[in-house]
Formats: sequence, C-alpha cells, structure tokens
Amino acid sequence: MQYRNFKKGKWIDEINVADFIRLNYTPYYGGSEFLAPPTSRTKKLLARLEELQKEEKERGGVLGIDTRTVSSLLAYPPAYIDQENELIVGLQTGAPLVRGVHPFGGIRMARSACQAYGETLSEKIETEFKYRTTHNDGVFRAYTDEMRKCRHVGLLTGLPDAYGRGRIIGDYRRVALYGINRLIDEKIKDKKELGKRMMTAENMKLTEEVTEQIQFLGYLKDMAAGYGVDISVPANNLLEATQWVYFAYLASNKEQNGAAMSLGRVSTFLDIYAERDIAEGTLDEQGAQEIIDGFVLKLRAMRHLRTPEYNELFAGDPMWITESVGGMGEDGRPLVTKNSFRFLHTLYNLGYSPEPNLTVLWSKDLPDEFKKYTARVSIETDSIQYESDDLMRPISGDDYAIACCVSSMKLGKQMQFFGARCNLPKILLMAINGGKDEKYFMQVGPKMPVYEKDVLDYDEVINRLNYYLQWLARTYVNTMNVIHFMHDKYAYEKTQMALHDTDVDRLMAFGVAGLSVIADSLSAIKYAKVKVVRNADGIIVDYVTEGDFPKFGNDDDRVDGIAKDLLHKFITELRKTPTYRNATHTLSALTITSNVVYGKKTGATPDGRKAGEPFAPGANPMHNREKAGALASLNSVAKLSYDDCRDGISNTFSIVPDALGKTKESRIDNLVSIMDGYFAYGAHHLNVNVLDREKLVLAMEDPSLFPNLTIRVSGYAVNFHKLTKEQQREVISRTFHTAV
Amino acid sequence: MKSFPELSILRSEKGRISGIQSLGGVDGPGVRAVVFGVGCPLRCAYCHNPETWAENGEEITAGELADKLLRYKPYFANGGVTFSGGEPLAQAKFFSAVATLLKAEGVHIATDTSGSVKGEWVDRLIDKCDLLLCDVKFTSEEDYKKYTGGSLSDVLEFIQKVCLANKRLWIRQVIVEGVNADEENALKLKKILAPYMANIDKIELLPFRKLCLEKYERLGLTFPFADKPETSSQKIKELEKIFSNE
Repeated sequence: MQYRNFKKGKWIDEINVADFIRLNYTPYYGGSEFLAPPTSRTKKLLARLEELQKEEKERGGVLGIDTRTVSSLLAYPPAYIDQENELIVGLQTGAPLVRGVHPFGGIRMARSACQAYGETLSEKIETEFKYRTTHNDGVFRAYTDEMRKCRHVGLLTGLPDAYGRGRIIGDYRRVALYGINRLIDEKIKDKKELGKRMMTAENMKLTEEVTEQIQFLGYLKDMAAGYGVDISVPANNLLEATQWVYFAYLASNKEQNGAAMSLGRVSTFLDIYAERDIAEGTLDEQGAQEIIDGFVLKLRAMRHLRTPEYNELFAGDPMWITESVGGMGEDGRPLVTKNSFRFLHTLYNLGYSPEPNLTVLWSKDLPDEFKKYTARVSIETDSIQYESDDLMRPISGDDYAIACCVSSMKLGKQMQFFGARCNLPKILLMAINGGKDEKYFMQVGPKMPVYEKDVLDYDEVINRLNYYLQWLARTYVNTMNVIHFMHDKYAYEKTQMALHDTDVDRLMAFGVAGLSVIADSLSAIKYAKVKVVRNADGIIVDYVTEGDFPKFGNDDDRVDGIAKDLLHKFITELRKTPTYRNATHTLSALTITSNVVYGKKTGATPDGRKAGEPFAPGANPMHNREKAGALASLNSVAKLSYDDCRDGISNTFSIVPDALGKTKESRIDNLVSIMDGYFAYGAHHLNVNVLDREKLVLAMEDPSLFPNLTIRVSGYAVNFHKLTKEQQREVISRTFHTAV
Repeated sequence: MKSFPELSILRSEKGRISGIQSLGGVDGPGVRAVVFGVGCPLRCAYCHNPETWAENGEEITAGELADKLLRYKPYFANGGVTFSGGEPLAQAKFFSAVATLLKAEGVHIATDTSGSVKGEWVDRLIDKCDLLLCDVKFTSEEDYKKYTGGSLSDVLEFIQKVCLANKRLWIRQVIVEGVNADEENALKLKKILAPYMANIDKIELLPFRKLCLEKYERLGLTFPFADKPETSSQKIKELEKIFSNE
C-alpha cells in the first residue's frame, strides 16, 4: 500500500534507491514561480528557533551541554522546539540546541570542550570512560614518533584522531523507502552470506560490524517509536518520508560527532512522494513547502560540541549538512524536480543560512530556468556552491552525493576515510632545510644537509622536494591507516554504515593545503632569483626574491603547470603505500578555514609570503596576485586535474555585483555563463560570493548591521560573525573581482 | 578561402596593450574579456586610465593576443571581446587584425571608443565589429574642445559611419556635476542622436567617479576634475528619464 502508484522495478527485490528514483521521478523544467511562502506554522517555529539562537549567541556560542549523558540513539527522552508547530520531530538531545557529549572519539576532546564553555564533564562519564578505550586512545597507542612530530609542527593537521571522522553519508533515504524491518532483514541475509566465507580477520571484523549495524537499526526504530512514529514499515507520504529520512540522519548525529555529517541527495527522492500526494489531492504546494521548510529548520538546529582549537580549523560551527541538488540522470533527463527548487527556496522562507550546505550539481544540460534560479540565489544569498556533475557523473554514476565540501561518493555504496591535509609549503621549506622544521628547528623528516648555496637552484630544489614528498606520502598514508583502523575499532559508525551496502567501497581521502603558495614559490625559484637568509644555526628562515615571476591565477601555463604536476606527483606517491582495508587513494585541494592556521604555522616562503601569513584557501590563487581578472583566475584552477584530485578541488570566487553586470538580469545571465565556461574546462568546484568588500568591512565594525551575513568560504558557508577577527580579516583580504 | 601566408601576416601585426581584464560584465552584452590598448589622442578631464596615454605598455602580436582571448571563449555565451583603452581606434590596424582572428572563431566583438579617430583602418575595424560603444563625451564643440582636446564633429562622423555600416551602437556619456549634469545637456544629446536611433540599442549615462585619483598620484599627474563631486545615482536616474521612451 505504501508503494501504490509507484512504478515497480529492481528496487522492489533489492535495496536500490537509485532505481526507484529513475523509475518514478518527474523532472521539472520550469521556473520558480510556483513556490510558496512560509506558512504561519513555519514562521512560529522559526521565531522560536531564532530566539534560541540568539540566546546561544549571547552565551558565547553554546546554549548548553548535557554533561551527564553519553550521546546515543536512545540516551535522551523525546524533545521538541515547539511541539504543536513541529511537523518534523526529533532532537539530538533533551532540549533544542543543547549539545551532547560524544566521548567515543576521544574523552580528552569531550572534556576540554566542556571546560571551554565553563562546564565540567560529569564524574559519571569520566568514571565510565576510565574503563573504555576511545578512538583517540587507540590512535596514540599506535602513532610513531615521526607521526607525532609531523602533527606537532603542522605538517599534518586537522587529522580526525580525537573525534568522529565524519564524511560518511548514510543513505538515509533507504529508511523511508524500505522501512527498518526490511533493512534489518537484508542485513541478516548479508550476515549469513558472510558466515559462508573464510573467517579471515577482515571477514570477522565485517561480520561483527554487520551485527552492530543490525543492533543500531533496532535502536533507530525504537528512537522513532519514542516520538510515537513507527518506522518499521515504508513511508506512506511526503510527510512520513521526510520524517523517516530525518530520523535516520538524526540518529547518526546522536551516535557520531563526525567533522562533516552530510545529508546526501534527498530532495529529488522526496519529490516523488510530493508528486504522488499532490496527484492524490492530499497535499498542495503550500503543504509541500511547509514540510521541506520544517525539515530544513530542524537541520539548522543541529549542533556538535567542539573545542576552540577545532573551531580555529573549521570556523563558524559548521556541520556540513551537505545536500546535493540537481545534476543529470544517466538517461539524459535532469534530476531537477520541484523539490530541488523547494530546498533552495528555504533560503528565502527561513532566511539566509550556511546550513544545510546546499550544493548544486552543475551540468551544461541542466534546464535553463534552474540554472538561472541557482544564479539568482547565489547573487542574493551567497549561500550555495556548485560542483561539476559532468565531471563526477561518469565516475560516480547519477546517484552520488557530496560529503563535506567537495568529496563525492556513491550513496550507500562508497564511504570515505577522511584524512584532512598536509602542508605543501612546509614540505618545500623542510626539503630546503634537510628535514628540519623552519619554525620549531626540529628534525622531522629524514636528515640531509641544509641547502648550501646562496641562491636557490630550481633543479636542486626539485630533487630535494621529490625526495621529501616521497617520505611525506608514505608517512601520511601510514598515519591515516592508524587513525582509521582505530576509528573502526573503537568508534565505528553503526547507524550510518547500516545504511550502506555491506560490501562497501572505501576511499581514503588525502589533502593538500597551500597549493598556490608552493606553486608560486617554485615559479619564483625557476623564473626569478631567490636568495636564502639563514639564522645563526644555518637554518634557512627567510628568502629574498628579486625579479618578477609567473603567478598562479593568471592563466599562465608556466606556473599553472607546476601546480598541476605537483598534484599528480603527490597522488602518484601516495598510491605507492597500501591503505587500510584496501581503500582507494584520493586527493583534495581543500582547506576549509585551516588555511589561516596553516599559514600561521609556516615560515616565510620563496614567493614572498611572510612567515605566519595565511595561505589561500583550497586551490585558490594567492590573494591579489591575479592580475588578469576573474576568468584568468578560473582558467588557472580549471587546469588542475580531477583525475589526480578525485576528492575535490575547491575554489572560492568573490566578485562585486557591479562587475558581474549592470542589471539583475544581466548578473544572473553572466553568472550562468561563467559557471558554464568554468565547468566546460573540466573544473570541479566553485563557491560563489557576490558582494562588496565594503560590506564585509562594515559588518566587521558593526555586526548588528548585517546579522545574517552569510558567505562562502572554502567548501562551505558560514555566518560571517561566527568567524574569528583573524579569519574575518583574511576573508576581507582575498581578491574581490571588480569592474575595470 | 584565406591562404596561410595572409593569416600569418595578420597574426604578426604588432600592437601595444596595458592589460586584459578577463571578466568585464559591463562593456557590452554578456560576459566579456576587455583589452586595453594604449595611446589616446584625447586628454579628457575625467580620464580613468591615464596610464594608457603614454604609448608604452606591453608589445604583443595580434596572434598572441587572439590566442589569449580565445582562452575565455567558453565563458562568453552572449558575450565576447571588447577592445577598450586608451583609444583602440588609435591602433585600428592592429585591432582589425585581432578582430579578424577572433571573428574566424565566432567571437562577438565590441569596440569601446570616443569615436574621435579617422582613417581607412578605422573603417575596416568598424566593419569587423558587431557593436560599437561610443562615448559622446560632450554635446557642444566648445565643451568638447575644452575638456578633451578633440572635436565633436569627428565623433558624429564616426557615428554616421557606424550606422552606414549598419552596426549596433551603445552610446555613453559620463555625467559630471557643474559640467553636463543638467536637463539642457541631456536634451541636446537626445537631439544629436535622433537621426541614428535605428542603430542605437542603449544610451548609458555614467556617474562621474574619482576612483582613479590614486592612479594620477602614482603617475605624478594632476587630476583636472579632482574638485568635482561624484555624481549621485539619483541624478543619473533623473536624467535617464529624458531618454526613456515615454
């Protein structure tokens, strides 16, 4: 009965959401004129949430912490923001915006996060965890001295070794389409199959994991039952389907505090239910929008407890509730539905907001009206990002989603071992200094004499760099292997992995920071004259660069080629060291806001960047070195190969409205043209900000002027006021492409 | 069909530019790459690019420039390339060569000019363009001479040629308080343009701005209009009404 009027197919006999979507969705080619404003119920609920958010801000960013409860699916009684106005129910803890404690990733992090906000982790939890090993404990048992040093000097930073690794997307849609009972049955079948295999270490591990998955699916059902909702069977309409999906997502967040807890690709899936309800006369447009608004509003209330050090790396309290919208089907029909519009429309109905992290999967073949609508949303809200569906679809099929900022994975079929990033400028400096760190003067890498001549010779520097990159790649892969072995062992994601196929494909995502700094530095060494400056101990701590040199961001192959080759070289080196659970090595050029911290930890570089100055974010050219305007800058980044960087190449693009066009219509058309052009060159990702620098300066001086000012940073969006002053200054210092 | 030697002669034509702005959203329709040629016969009192007066800049061949500009072609959609300056007509032969190379690739071409240069190569360049953006700087010979050093009649002759060649035209004028920011001037401009309206798609009044002050200081030049106030957008809107088809 729940499947009435659905076209049957493979999805009936096997867990196959993509097949269900393909057979049942209705592409939408029209414009945004059908969209409905918020209902009074939505407005009331929103008003209550805004009150709470205000209070949260007044209390220094955290409204409250439940220090007595270890967060899990059944740890808290049902709770509400405003029960009579909540269409979609369920909260992470016993009260809205109150943060839960997740000690399985690491008790130390949980403890210091409580302290940072004036609370103390309860004696009860402290005692319980005295007798438990956390992920963090495990990692530090296995870390080598070398790994610790790499971490200490900031060669490897942001590693998920003290909290949930995140970047895993459960296929939350499965709960709505199949109901929990069917999912449990399938997992029981899988377990029986595993029992027929050789009991190798890997098979035993997987068998144990599947058992835990089954257990947690049961908890998920019980959690929903606590709210009076029976999710053992498939959802019957849009409201139920949305609620089922939300419960599954919520349960994952009760269990895990992963760095990025992304949602997946639910809007077109849910549209199938909306279309059926509307056809059956049980729902109208207003009602459909109200459900989506209610859902998104709950997503905006999601919180995790973090430490101040964490916030430095990933500023603005992000959750990365990334929802991928749009894209094309492999059959050539756009996967754009009315619900794609409804999700974007929440930015108007509920106000501008960084979360959920709305990500448009761009294709040259998307319907024009949808392209224009997304461009309009960008121009008006600065809240969305774009990634090339034409680039990812041939690799990932048409049912993938983005985790975090730029990491694509096939829903329910692939998972990722998140690996943060390594500091490329630092490895260059270390290569010049024979393995010594230029700030701590500590021997980190293999020992070699410090570079001896006064002027840097390109070939010699490259030889040294190649040697140290090999060493770094090996150390980095091994470090990641330790982290993910321990995470699987002590903090395995039972709910999220229950919403994956049992035999899952694994990716191990490495990353680089400071790509434009190292590219420009090598260019300076090659095309200008770089003299070294030594300290009393002979360590090179500064550089004097004479003459001009090509800089990344000007569509100049001489330096763009250096950046491109470096990524190729690095992923090639990484692939030489085997990964834990045979994961596929991938690489990203993405920094989040860690480009500021990385810069702080890195000495002066041969490109003229001073010690401590921030790097550019992601794959961005360094600020204000782009002399030929925006398209030249985009062309440079577009040259970086996605084949080398399958975990994503992040580019953040800021342009002032007047430079984009004179009228609103021309700005929309021009932004669409820019996106089409950029992605036609094989580029991967674009964060778009259309705003004046002056606005940010004003906002920095007087936050009350633009309280909801949202901007895109590397791969996500933040409320500008949640950034530290240092980060705000860094954002303001970036290139804003202006009119001539 | 063109023979190769002819193409290589075009490609080797030399010119001087002060730079390329790869994304211009305002100098013609759509997304446009804008090239700034150096050299200008005029000395406008409000000139924004005084660095282009001196005929130095970077020497580049038409072929090299066309190759660079073609890198932006995927972004153009309804846009294209705009030649600006300086005065692009001052290097009409060079820009004709660039235009020929770009046209062969189907690129839309606009030239942003004062219209105050004449000659055979100017005629040829007009012929290669899809759109001319002509800045009719002042509406009387007297003002024109006084504030630019040029002649209004040259400009009108240029506009006539553009219309004879049946090209599209955008007319622009910078509005400066105390000089031409009044109804009388607007009406005069309207009257001057009346015979050419069949070819004119747009008349843009641009507010006088002083963003270039720093440039003048850097170049050690005095900015003649330094004491003039910036024009308000209110004023522009008011004057624009005179041109709207009521």
